[in-house]
Amino acid sequence: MAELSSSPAQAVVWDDVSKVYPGGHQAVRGVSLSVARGEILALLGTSGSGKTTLLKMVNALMEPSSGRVVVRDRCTTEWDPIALRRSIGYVIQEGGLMPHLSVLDNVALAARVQGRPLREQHSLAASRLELVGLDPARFGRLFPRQLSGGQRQRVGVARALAASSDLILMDEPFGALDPITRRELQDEFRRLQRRLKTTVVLVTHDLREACRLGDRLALLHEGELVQEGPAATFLQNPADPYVREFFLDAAAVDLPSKD
Amino acid sequence: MPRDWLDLLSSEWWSLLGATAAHLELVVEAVTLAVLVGVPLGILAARRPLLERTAVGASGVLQTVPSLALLGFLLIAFRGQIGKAPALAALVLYALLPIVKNTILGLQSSDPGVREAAIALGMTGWQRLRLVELPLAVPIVLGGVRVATVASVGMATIAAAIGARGLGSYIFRGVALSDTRLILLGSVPSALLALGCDAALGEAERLLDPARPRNSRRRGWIAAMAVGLLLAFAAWGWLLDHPMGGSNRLTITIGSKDGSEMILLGYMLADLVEAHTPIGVDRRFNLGGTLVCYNALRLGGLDAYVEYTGTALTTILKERVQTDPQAVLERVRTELKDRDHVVCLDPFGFENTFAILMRRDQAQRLGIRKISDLLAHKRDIRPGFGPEFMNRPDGYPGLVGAYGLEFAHAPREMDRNLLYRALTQESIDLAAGDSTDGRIAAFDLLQLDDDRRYFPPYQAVPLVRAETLQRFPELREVLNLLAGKIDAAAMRQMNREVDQEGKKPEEVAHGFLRRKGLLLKD
Repeated sequence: MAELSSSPAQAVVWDDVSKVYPGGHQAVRGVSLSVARGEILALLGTSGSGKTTLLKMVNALMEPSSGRVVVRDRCTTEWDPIALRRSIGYVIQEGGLMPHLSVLDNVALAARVQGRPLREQHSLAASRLELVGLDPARFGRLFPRQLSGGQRQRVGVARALAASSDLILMDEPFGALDPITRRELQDEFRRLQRRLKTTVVLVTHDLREACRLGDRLALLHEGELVQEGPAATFLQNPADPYVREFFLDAAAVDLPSKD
Repeated sequence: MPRDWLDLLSSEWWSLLGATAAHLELVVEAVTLAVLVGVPLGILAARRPLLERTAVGASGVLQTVPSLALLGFLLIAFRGQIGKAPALAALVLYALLPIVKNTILGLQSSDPGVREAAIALGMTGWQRLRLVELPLAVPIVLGGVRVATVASVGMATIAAAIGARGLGSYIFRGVALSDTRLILLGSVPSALLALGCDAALGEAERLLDPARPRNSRRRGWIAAMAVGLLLAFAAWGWLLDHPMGGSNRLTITIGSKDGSEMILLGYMLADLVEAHTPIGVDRRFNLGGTLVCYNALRLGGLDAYVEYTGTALTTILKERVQTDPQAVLERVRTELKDRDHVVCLDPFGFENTFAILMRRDQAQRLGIRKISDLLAHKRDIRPGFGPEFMNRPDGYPGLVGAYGLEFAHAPREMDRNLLYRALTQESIDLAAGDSTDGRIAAFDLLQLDDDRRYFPPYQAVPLVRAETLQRFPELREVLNLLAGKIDAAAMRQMNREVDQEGKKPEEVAHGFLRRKGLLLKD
């Protein structure tokens, strides 16, 4: 196999990846990008920019039409998709919780699908709930519909961490929350991620969220990677007029609420 | 009247309860089988569009088959077995559609976010089904089970036409004997049963719905108890059908067609067999018509029943009408023996023929006494006939040919046993009945003279399987004990007692045998 452009320091690498949907729509055009171990990469862009498509290639929910995606030094096509998914946490809006399972069972599900013993499933779930600030004794027996939006989101994160504290994919995880709760959760998540040194790929259209959480940002526009790097470089050296526009628009909306 | 009701209810109480339990048991067994077949089929079909179309299409087509036609077909498919087996099969076939459909719907309608989360957790297809999709589909699947159960309660009444035990036998008997009380005695518990099943399953459905807040513990208990009670009741019905031990007694099955005369004669044959031989008799009376009875007899579901020679000639052998009763008997005897190994024993003595009937006052007003008198009134007369008469070559089609009687009003087709009442209530003016029917005298009807001798006189004879006679040679003599013993007047009198005076056919039959001294062993 030709030398991967990834070094052991890279958790995920997109290598000249494109995606054309069966209808002919091209969602991703020749994107090359990587995430280092322990960092948070924020995939930023408007809807339809291809950011979610890139994310779903990592846990093989989607396949690239050309190019390849490398996860932990192995191309996704070499992974058994089931094993790959079991080793990656996944958080979506509202958490994607199972409405028929209790909070504890929802978190334990990650261990359950791997066929681990029941005792281990539950102790793992309880410890992950504690990590996200939910008391397992109090919340464990509740059902998702009995929780607030913020609590549901915490459970979603706990479940992702139960699958893997090593690599987590998040798709607009805090999108459905009110601004105060969102900020609270973002800060807590940031602290947790630092502590666990979890690699995170975060999809968001919210510039402030990207800046607050992302070590590096990657701005996508109509399937192409426009610019990547730490937030500051986008302001100092915008790669093209679109970057400037995107940042100014976001800033204009955000200005009045800036603290 | 209320007194009358109480008497009937108290005398029928236990058998009514037993029939209700048997009814429920048939439904429970059918729905259970339909779930065992339908849910896996739905699971397989949910992810395969071609199979989905085939399964839903096929069960939809089954649903459109008229129930009596399906029962008739299954009776033959089950080699003439009378009673539960074909009835069960029919109920299962009808119950499949809502169960398969709802299983597919339940599996396909799960929330896309939940489905994606399940895949992203690394679940295998089987894990997704077992841990997520099936539990979430349970309320919808249960909804299908509920629809199937309620429909089966209704459908199971029709199964009485092929001799299945249950509430339908009351309804059919009530229709055959023109007894509204019996009809209500069958239909009210059946309606209550449907409502009860609907409520109990509805509660279970709510309890198992993950999207609803947990119900109180008490409510859960009530639902569980209601379902448990229904199941226990059904289990009792099953026990009634499967008595413990001592069932190695030799038995034969005697059936009868619908109508009081047929039921009376059925009881007589059964009583004679039990009085003169050690053989036990399983009585399956009031079955749905000639073809049900004859096919069951031919294929082995019945050992004997009473048939009219003319019906055997035209409906079973599909031969032309003949007017000489003796010739008809001989022809039927040889043909049935050669073709189907069915033995035709000796006639009871009375002759029965189709009788064209009118209300006496109307006939007198119009000056009608014989069938050919009708020709002058064929514009105004509103006829009504039973389905068998409408279709038999020796029935309506032949009558039109023989007399040139083309009525301006197309004949109304209704159950043979409802014709008499329809006639007295003036919803029709003319009907075809049986000449021995007790209701002719009771309702003051006039039998028009068959002046062109169109209707051949028919004799009632016991038909027995040749195989049964080989196994029990003594049966031939016993079943022939009634030969020549019942004349038309006696038959008419017995019919009248049952139809008009509301006496139980088994008692009237028994009384006749006793008076004739036929119950004593020599």
